[in-house]
Amino acid sequence: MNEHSDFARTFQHARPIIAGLIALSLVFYAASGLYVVEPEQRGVVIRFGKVVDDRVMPGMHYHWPWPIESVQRPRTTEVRSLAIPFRDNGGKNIDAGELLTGDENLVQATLLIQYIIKQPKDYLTSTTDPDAVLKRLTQWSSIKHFAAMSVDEVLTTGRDTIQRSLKRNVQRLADEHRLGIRLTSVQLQNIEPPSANGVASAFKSVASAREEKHKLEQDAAGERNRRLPKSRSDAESLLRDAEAYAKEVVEKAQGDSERFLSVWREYRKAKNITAYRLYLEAVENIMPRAKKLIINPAAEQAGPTGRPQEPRHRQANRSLPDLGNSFLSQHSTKNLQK
Amino acid sequence: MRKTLAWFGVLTVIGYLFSTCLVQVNEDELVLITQFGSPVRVVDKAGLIGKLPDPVQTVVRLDRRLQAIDSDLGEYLTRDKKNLVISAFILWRIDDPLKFLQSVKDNQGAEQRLIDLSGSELGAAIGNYTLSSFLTTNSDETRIPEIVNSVTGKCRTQAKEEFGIQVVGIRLRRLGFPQQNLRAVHKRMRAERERMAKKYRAEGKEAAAKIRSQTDKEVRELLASTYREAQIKRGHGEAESVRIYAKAFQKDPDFYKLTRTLESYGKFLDDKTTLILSSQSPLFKYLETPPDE
Repeated sequence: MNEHSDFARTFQHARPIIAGLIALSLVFYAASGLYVVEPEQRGVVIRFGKVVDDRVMPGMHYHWPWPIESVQRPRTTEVRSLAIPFRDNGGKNIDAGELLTGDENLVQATLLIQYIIKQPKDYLTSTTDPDAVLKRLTQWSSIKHFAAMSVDEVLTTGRDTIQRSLKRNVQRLADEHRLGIRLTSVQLQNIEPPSANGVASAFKSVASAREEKHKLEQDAAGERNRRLPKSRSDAESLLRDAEAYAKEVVEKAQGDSERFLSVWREYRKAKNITAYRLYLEAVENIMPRAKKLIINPAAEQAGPTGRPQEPRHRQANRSLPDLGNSFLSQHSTKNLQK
Repeated sequence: MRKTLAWFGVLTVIGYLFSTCLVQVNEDELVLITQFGSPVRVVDKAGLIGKLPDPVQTVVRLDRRLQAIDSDLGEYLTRDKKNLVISAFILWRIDDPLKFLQSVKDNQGAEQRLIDLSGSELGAAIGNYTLSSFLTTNSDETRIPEIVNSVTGKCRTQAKEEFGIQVVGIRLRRLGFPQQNLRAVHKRMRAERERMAKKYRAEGKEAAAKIRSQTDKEVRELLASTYREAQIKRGHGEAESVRIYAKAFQKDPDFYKLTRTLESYGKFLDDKTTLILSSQSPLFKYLETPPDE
């Protein structure tokens, strides 16, 4: 009894302190439910093991204290990346190997995929290792895709197409298996033929042959583009030339005939005189330039009468109209006087 | 004092009952409740459940999440006797906890069974298809999805019935040629490329020659037709001039002959010409015999 009263007394004495401690620990216990979600995070609230909210926005929040509720805070805006090599590694490692194309060629590549968490709940609870699953799904997509393309498509034209369709495919598979992620990019890096046994250089030489082909065609086309306009301009100038010529001869003919007619109209008024004058003018024009040898056939030839000259005489007389004697004499005398 | 102890006792019992009768099931778990070792129920929904206290009913927790394992890298023969090196991965999850525990006990056991199962099914399936079912440049002809789906289908049934496992999918993660064939493959690739390079060069020359000859043809045709047109124009001009001349000269042919002949003398008699003139020519009429005055 005495003991008890001692205990009671002591207890009584400490009662406010104990009550204070209990109250304080209750406050702390209640306050343990306060949590902060950082801007790059989303809060996932779990009540008795069940996810009740996986989209708690950044800020200060409260959950029921343990053991009722707990919170996980995955970084959902963080971009995660995964590099998946497709390279020859001596055939030992199943983790990577060259890709087979549809025409039984091999290519190496590295696939870089990036993703963010889209569904925190799925990301956290639906697979044991989202990265491992995602990696395998990507490998599967790539194998399937490359096995249906030719190596030329893969190496030249197909890269963008491959990236786009891989992204679509892998995203579809990821959704199907509820990985809770969203792919932000799929990049094919360093796609190249195998370097062993001179394969790579053979591929390069095809590329340069293709360039060469292109260049030959371009050169020929360039030459064509130079030659065609040149020949068109040649043709044009030939035509203009011909037109000019045509105009020229017509104008010349008109000029000549006008001149002829003018002269002829005057000539008609004094035929004999004019003809002879024209004749002499022509002779004057020619004679000074030409060497002259004047012979007297009558004197040189044995023939006494100078018969050969007679037809010439006549011819001259025929071709020239009657020449006024006085006219000729005037000229001759002038010439002689010079 | 005794009263306090009694309170302690009661509290302890209540605490014990709470901790053993209430079971928290997480999202990623399947919970099997057994009563004296024999299973009574499976809980596949997350949350809080109640059960009889511990010695009576106990809890077995299993992972219900999707898991991936890889089959070994194996060499398989296609129907047309080509070797392919293939490794598959299996996506699976526990479907029936009881069957799972009874048949394979744990994940390790399950994985080994799945690898064996998928390996033999893959071998059988691949043997039914030719290499061109795997590798084709026409994406409509590829049979790979069909092949893996048939393997998945067969494994799925067996795994479900025997191991309580759901096979979500069996897919390939590696498809290649055996290492010992690589040299031959490389050689073939190189030969193919060399052939293509030759072809490109030849095509380039051919195309260039074609363009050149086409250009030649067009240029020559253009010049020829231009020549024709030019000649026609010239002809018209000349015809016109002939007409004009004729019209003018017809008025007095004799006078024309005279003037034209005289004009032509001036042209073709030059300083290299030696004229042998007869002194009896009318030109010298007065030279030899002066006119009588």
